[in-house]
Amino acid sequence: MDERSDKDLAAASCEGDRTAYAGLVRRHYGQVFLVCLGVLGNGHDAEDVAQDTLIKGFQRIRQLRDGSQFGGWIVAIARNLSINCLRKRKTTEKALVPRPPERVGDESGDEDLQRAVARLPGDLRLPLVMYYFDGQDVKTVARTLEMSTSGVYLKLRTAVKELHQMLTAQGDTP
Amino acid sequence: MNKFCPDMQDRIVDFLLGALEGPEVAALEEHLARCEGCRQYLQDLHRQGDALAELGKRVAADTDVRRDRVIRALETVTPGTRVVPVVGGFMRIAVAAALVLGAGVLIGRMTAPEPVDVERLRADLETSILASLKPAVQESVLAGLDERLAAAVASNDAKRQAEVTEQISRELKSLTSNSEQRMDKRFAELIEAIEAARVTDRWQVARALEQIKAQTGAGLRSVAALTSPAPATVEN
Repeated sequence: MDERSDKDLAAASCEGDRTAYAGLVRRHYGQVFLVCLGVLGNGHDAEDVAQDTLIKGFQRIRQLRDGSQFGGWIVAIARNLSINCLRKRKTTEKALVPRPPERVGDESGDEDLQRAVARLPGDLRLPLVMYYFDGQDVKTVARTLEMSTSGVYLKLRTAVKELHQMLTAQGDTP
Repeated sequence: MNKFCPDMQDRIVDFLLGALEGPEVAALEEHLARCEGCRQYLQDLHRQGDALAELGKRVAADTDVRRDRVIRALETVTPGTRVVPVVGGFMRIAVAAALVLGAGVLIGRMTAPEPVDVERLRADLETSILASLKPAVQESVLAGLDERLAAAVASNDAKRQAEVTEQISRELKSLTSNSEQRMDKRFAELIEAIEAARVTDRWQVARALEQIKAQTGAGLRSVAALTSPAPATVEN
């Protein structure tokens, strides 16, 4: 892991240093992927959009004024691209045959839970994924998503309740 | 399965998330101690949270593989050029206004009459003035000469004739010299008027030059007008 700060890595990336940018990718990929997963609710799409996000980040790195803000900046790009992807997907699904129910993770494990998470609205799923999947505390989630702490608590509360309701209705109480 | 108390649901979830303060925690724990439905609900939520955390671990299991895939994909990408930041909507409005004004000025210039070519006009004026004044001067001089000569011839006095001839010669020189000076002065005034008007407004220049042309083009028909002590000034 590159020990340099985000600011130094971003500055070197501006000069075309791919090794420096690779350091930023290693540091922030997890967060970017989680945000994509949280918005999209689908692992495959999240992987694609996360890759697009980080490639676009490298292409646009010279637009970033303060390299120390790389984390928030790249997450914002990830959210925007994920939302765009979601819109395109909805448009396509309206025109084509609906896809089978989404699943957040891989083929193994608790499919009902994966489907229930995938069915949550994106604004509820995103904080839920960051809080439970990555074990982030509420303040970190709030900072990353640029929300108030109370706002994140409210989203999490609703997400937890809705998720439990869906799982109970499926007869699959965790 | 016992149903949880609906009015306690939010507090149970908040408790799970660690959002309750001390007195609220104590009150909830007291309730949980005597309500099996709510205890069960809290246990369900705990299990749900654990299951989510497990799912998160599985999702993150191949993070390194996906991350390395991104790093490999970056090998063909180059960072773009720096983009000048756009300062909000004000700049956009300002740019739009500048474009509209610029377009207006451009259209105005394209549709405006051709500007006056002062240098060319100056040359025309010089020709016109000289052409109109020289015959008048010559006519005047010759007329005066004729009168003097007639008087001299009429006189039989040789001395008188010599004096008249000498005087005619002096006055002729003086008259010619004065006329040339006045012509130069007149011409300089015209040029100054042209320059002043040009600076002020090219339309005024056009009008002034038309007026000047009218005056000089018609010819200053008499030597008196040319050689008078107070020459006519050009009106703009």
